[in-house]
Amino acid sequence: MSEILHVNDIYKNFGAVQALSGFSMSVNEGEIVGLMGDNGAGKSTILKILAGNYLASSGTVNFMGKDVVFNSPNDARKQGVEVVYQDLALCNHLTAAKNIYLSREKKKFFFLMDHKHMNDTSQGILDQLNSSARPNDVVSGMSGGQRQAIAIARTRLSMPKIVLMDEPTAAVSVAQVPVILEYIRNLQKQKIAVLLISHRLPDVMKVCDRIVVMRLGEKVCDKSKDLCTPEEITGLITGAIKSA
Amino acid sequence: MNLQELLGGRKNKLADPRVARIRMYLNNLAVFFIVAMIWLSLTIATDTFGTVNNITNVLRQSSLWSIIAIGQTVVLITAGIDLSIGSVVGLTSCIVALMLNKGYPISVSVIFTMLCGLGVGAIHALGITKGRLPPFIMTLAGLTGWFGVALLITGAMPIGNLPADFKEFSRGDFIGIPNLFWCVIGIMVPTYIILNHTPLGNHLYAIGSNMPGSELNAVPVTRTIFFAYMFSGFCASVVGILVAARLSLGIASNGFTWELKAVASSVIGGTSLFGAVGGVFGPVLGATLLSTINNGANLLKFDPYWQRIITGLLIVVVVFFDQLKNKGNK
Repeated sequence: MSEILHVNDIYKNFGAVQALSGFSMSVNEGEIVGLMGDNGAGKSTILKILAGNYLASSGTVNFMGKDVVFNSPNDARKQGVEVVYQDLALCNHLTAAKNIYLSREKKKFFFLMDHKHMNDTSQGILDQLNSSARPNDVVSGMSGGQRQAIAIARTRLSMPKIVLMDEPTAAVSVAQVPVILEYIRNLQKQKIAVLLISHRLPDVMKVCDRIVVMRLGEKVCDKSKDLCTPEEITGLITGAIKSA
Repeated sequence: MNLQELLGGRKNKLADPRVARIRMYLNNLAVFFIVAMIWLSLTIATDTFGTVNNITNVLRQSSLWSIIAIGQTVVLITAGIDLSIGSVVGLTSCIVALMLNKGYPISVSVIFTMLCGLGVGAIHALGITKGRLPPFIMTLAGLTGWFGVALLITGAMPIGNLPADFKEFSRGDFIGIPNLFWCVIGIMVPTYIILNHTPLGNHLYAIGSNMPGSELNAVPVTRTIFFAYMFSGFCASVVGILVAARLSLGIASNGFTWELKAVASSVIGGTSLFGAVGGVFGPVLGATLLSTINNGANLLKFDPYWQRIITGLLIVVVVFFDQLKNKGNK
């Protein structure tokens, strides 16, 4: 498996608060990497740097063999980075299709939205995800599972190289968790890498190839899942074990 | 449990877009029905309401309020508010009058005034996006600031002596419909297309619905907010020009308190003060309702103070129901 993402010595501070301190990690093609850590460990910060929401204070990001700086979410998307945010970042008043296509609306006659194309494509993606949500449905009236499906459907509009998922199982019911994990495995089959941020150790142990643990903005563990035990990971997250 | 049930969930009636559309149609229909009932009652109760002259007068007045209400609606959709509209109407009426007074051609004066309206909107948007000022504060500052500028450039004097061709436009009609109402159609049609059929319209609603989420999804938030406030400024400048033509003078107090008429028309027409809900037909109906109440109260010799009280009560009632609707959506 070739390396597609390498972040090296990333620092990020918000005023006096140091969110990341020399953080480095890599992700290979088609690999599922679990990124774990306590609240404030810096997981979401690194995700937002990779998604183009934040700029790193220092350090480099190498993506697909090139050093890159994602100045905006659009930059990241164009390079093949798709994101499922923890709060899903959905617009309640818009339809499913308009949410899926938000900021990359299909156009006809140069400036008009191609509603038919957007609805047809969205329907196809939702069918693939086995969701009963319809493209014309308004998000505010949807169930948690349907909303999750809309957020995931966004990642299917392009052929991404990597999908960043921030706590995708945190806001869904216990019964919906296996479906999302199955979706992650399907991405891997398509050779799409996944960086999975999660607090839920069982999910990470089930689906990930490798686990990276962060603590106070630094990496304290980076090894194959097969070499980790849940107790060790828990110890690393809480600080009972300093590094592994 | 199969995959469909897991990711799909149960079908929810509230998700059906027809429910939201029907709500909007019902709101517009209710306002239309109220306007029709008031028109009918006033026609019976007074000798003058039903005359062609008076109806034309009501349409002319509602046209001016409709245009600023459409501008306000675009801003309200982004969950913002433009409280400067009345002062911008006054300022732009002074600018166009001053230019015409100094002998500039009508076309140059009108275009320059419209550019001023766009510029005013851009300044508001700059404060909101780059200065991180709440829209309420930024445009409240505009409300007093632009009024001051208008007083300054006119020396607090009315500017008259405008060319006859300029004045004629606001009094004329085309195929029996007042020119001012054609101006409403000229603003309404492109706004409808923008809101419903362009990515820009989708972004306006998205920002009103979830601004942080829109930013995460690469929506050009700054550019879109600039559009909303510049459009509102443009609409105010169009009304400033039209009101100067209609009254044959530019004066800083033209459009005094019209920002409230714009908000009231828009909200009565179904626009939500919480953002992401609104269209172009509702504000026009709302403006027609307000101008009908004004006209009717004058004809019935009501104390003019009551007009303000009625408008205030209408806003409270409509916003109360809007709040209930908003809670229902959450």
